[in-house]
Amino acid sequence: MAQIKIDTLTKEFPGGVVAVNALNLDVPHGSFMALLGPSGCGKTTTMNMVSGLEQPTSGEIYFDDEPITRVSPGSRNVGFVFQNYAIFTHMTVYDNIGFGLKIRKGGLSKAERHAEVQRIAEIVGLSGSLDRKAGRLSVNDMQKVALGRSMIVKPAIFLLDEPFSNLDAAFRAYMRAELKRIQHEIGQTMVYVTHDQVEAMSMADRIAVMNLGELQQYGTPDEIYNRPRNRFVAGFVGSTQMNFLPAALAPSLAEDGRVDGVTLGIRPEALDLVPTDDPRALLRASVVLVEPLGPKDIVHLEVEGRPVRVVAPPGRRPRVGDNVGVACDTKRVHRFDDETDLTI
Amino acid sequence: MSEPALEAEGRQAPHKRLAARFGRSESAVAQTLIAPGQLLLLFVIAFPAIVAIYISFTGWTPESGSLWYQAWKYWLWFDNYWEALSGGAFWHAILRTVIITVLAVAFEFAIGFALALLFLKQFRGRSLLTVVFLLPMMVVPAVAGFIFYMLFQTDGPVNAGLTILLHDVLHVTGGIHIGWLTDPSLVIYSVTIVDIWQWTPLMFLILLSGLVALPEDQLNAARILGASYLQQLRYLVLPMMKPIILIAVIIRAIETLKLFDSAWLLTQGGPGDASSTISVYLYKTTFIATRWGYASAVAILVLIFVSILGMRAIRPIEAATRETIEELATAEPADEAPSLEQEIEAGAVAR
Amino acid sequence: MLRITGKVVSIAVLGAGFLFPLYWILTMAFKPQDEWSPVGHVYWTPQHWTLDNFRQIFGVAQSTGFFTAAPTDATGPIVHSIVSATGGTLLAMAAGVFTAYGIARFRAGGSFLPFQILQLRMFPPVAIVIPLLIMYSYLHLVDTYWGLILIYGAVTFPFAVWLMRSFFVEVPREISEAAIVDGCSQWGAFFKAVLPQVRGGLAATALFVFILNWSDFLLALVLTSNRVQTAPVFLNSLQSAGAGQEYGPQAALGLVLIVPPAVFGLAIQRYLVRGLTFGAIKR
Repeated sequence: MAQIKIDTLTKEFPGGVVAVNALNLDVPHGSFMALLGPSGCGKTTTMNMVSGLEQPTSGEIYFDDEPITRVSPGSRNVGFVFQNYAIFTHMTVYDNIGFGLKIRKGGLSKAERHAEVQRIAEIVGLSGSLDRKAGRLSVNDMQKVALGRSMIVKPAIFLLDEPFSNLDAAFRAYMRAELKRIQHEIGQTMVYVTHDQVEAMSMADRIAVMNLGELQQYGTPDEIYNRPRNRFVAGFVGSTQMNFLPAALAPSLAEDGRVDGVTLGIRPEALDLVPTDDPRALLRASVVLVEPLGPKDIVHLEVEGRPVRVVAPPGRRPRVGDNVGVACDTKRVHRFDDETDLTI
Repeated sequence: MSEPALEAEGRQAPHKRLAARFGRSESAVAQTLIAPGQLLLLFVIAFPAIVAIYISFTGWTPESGSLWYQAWKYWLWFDNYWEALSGGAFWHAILRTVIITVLAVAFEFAIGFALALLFLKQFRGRSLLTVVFLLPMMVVPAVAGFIFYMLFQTDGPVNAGLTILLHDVLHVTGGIHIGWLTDPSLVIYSVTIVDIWQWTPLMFLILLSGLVALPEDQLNAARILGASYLQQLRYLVLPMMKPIILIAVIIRAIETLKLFDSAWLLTQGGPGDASSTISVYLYKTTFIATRWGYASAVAILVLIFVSILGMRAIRPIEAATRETIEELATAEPADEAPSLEQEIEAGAVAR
Repeated sequence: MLRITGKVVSIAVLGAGFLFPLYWILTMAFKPQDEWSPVGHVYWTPQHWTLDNFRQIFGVAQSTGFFTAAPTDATGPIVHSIVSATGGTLLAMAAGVFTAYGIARFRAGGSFLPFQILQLRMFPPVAIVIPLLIMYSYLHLVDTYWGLILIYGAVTFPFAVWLMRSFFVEVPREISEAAIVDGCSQWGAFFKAVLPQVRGGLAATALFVFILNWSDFLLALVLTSNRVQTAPVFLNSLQSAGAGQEYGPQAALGLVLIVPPAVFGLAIQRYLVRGLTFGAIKR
């Protein structure tokens, strides 16, 4: 329920590795924020600093305008769900969930604790398994224990580090929906670390894209997807990766006639396959591979030696080796400066 | 499996031929392998046991003039056993030994654990310091006894050091002249101190290796939930280390029960019998009193006592070794995950 | 900050406590006679460093007015220690390595044998001393090298088995199976394929067993008198002679006794926990 403000946060490790560089982020009260980026981008380190497990080299973190950078993790009232759950395998499910309450001084009475554990167990769907030893659960159940254990102490902020990456695909989708639902119901501020952009896009109110310790862009999923600030964000987000072509290949798409030092970015959905003599065809390509996905096909083309991907409706499926023309929705073209990688 | 060899075989079911070859030779090899060991054990256990039992029923001593197999001339039936079990000396020796063992193992564990906790996080010079703390363990136990013999002299360095601390610096008392080796009520503790000095390093090593293997994420999770250092110790560290602690304590206890070397060099079991562990008592009965019949009976009793203890101890060690492997490895899912429909249903019902 | 100072202080205090006895024997070995145990005074460090104590135990003392109550030449006992410890180690290793392989690979002796061997360790050696003496005098093994080697081998055999077993278990089955497929017999597979894999373990186990044999006191005390008396027994005899106040030479001898286990022990540091817990805990 708290608001997080991250101010010029930097973490440098001995040996000169800068894991996080001058990060600035504002997470509004009650929102679901995804920290998205590839391995090593600094998202987990950032998370560890927010939770208190690591101390930043410089910078400050505020919860509701209170600086908590030097506060110990136990006193920050955050919940943390680890990627590998880190549940207490030698304890029962009941003791796992109830742990946070048990160790609190001057907390609830035993009966009250018992009731709380039951309540949380129901919410996460573990009511029947309370007596089982946590180490012997299925992976999915362990995940629920991890969630329940964190939820019971009613933290102001919830941090989740790729919590669903070890689950099977079907369960993962289910848990995502569940988590979003719970978050919405309780109005919990959540920070969710992931390298899966589909996850981030589907769950988050705001996404912070990071790479090599630097914040690349911070905005709503819509902004991230349709108005990427730089080439990295554009290329990282999107199930089928965006196509990057030097502007020289399609000068009509260049803006202000600027062709040199500019790269065009066009999403596969913004392209269409047309016959080679169609006036709309901006490029000529040959078909290299067709991936039929059911509701759509992904057609891999080659344009002057460069790969181009197009999302095509399943009806008119081309064959490998065919020559086709590529048409483009000119309103959905992004242009990147080759030197700075920024969107023009 | 070596590919070319298998392909060279060519014919059907190469693995069947391998199995046959293994089966035939395996048990023969196995028996031959353990034969020398079995012989050794026979020599050390079987024969001595028989002889000891025989003699324990007699009052024979080597000074009686007859050879050992003529010991029947001095047949006493169960007199020796009766004397041991009803008299005080035997039980006192056992009691002393148990006291020393319990105290020594307890302190070794406490200090060793404290040291292990201190050494857990990396710091400069840790490897060097570890060597320092390992040294006492390498000292020949007899020499350790001698060292403390020197230290515990009434006008030796321990008393001198205590005097400096308590008298010269703190002005609490007068000169310290504790009779570490001469006071019958203290001598047991002096022996215990030697054992603690020698073997705390072992506890330290074992416990440190256990601590290092603890899953860090679980401890972090507890920290974030608000657990203090002590709470982490109580709810996480100690329970997870239970198997290792058990092994360490049992092994140390077994060895301390046999204590002889350092105790002998320190006090020869004295003054009188005040620091005679069961081994020292047995030794004195054998070589000073030369009552071999009685000593054999005591020895047999000790062997019985130890066997019972051993059988009670084996099970926890076995269980502990198995548990260590289970618990410290990543937990495996025990059953199949329920289907997605079941999950949603369960969730819907819960709501 | 407070935590770190507390940590440093505790380690320093404990370290000092554990080191002091070693410091004492070290300095005592270099003290002249009048500094050993003067009445009412303690020399915390030697005022006059001397090598006389070492000269005494190595039998090269010149007449320095040095009063000793008993002969202090320890070269004989030291040699006896070396021979008996080495021999006992070789015997324990010979029997132990084979037994360990049998247990590890073929589960020879069923599931009981390993724990029977463990139980062996629980017996106080004193308990079998009488029959042992009887047996030995019968076989004329009393006060001989072979007598010691035999019993040392038997007593440290369990350690050799348990340690080597833990090393053999780490060698994958496929290695010996591959050798057999290539034409070796079981024995050939053992010597040519498996054994080289555990070379490190062999060395560590041998050193460990040597330390145990070297440290023995009771068995040698009982089974030797003057022909093959080992060094710890000799140390003890110096204790009873001269009213146990021959600190100097005793300390020198003690130091000599400490050196091999210290050196070997530090060399096999990694395996100490494994050895002393019968292979139950591997670091």
